[in-house]
Amino acid sequence: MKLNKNVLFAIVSSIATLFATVVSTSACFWYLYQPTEPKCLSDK
Amino acid sequence: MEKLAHNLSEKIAEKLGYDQDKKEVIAYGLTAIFQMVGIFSIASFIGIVGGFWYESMVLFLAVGLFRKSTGGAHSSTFQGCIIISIFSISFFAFLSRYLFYVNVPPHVFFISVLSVIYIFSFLVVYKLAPVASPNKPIVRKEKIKKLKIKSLATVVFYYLISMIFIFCSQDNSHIRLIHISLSLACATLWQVFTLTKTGHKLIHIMDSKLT
Repeated sequence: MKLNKNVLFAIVSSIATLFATVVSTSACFWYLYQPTEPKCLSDK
Repeated sequence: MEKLAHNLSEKIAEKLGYDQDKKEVIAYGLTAIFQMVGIFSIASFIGIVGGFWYESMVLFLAVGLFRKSTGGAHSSTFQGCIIISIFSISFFAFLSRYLFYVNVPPHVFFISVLSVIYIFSFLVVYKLAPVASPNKPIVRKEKIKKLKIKSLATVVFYYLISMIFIFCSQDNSHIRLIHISLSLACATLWQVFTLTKTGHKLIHIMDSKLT
């Protein structure tokens, strides 16, 4: 059960990271809200 | 929802031993996912109930994809974004489905009107896109150029799709295609509007009423 939970977290983390990376190469989020971008993904 | 994203990322980082940077990236990604799923779900529900689901989905996808290269005005809160987005999608979808149809030869009227809309949009995008946000500044000139070209290409692509749909509905057998091409034009016009100063002011006013 513990192993499955960690696997689930790893999958969620991978998907979230993928989305974050896609957003970082764009001008903004999907719609009208733009939270502060993490420093490691910023354009600077 | 944003708090949920942060709490979940906190839990994931703790369980998997991630550092602060990785945790922030996961929270950022989860917020994006929750925003998309939230807007999609509610817009879908309203669209199904109102009989304009296809138009809602065209608006949802068209504005979202277009916005990724153009940027534009933003709401200051997650909730404000959801409400304004749902309202704009449902409003334009309803208009496209029920009110904008005029009983004249479609390939005359709609091509003219849509061409004017897309030419106007192209010019505004050329002048203003991309529009950055303070929370996501765009500083590299190469990225600005790339996003501008992508934005202009998107306007042209949407115009071509609209024209194809109009031509496919010439004999009035596929009226829904006209509604969908109108939704696409509304999506383009709305997104282009959010690039302008007036658009920013309107979003700010709507946002202040909601928060």
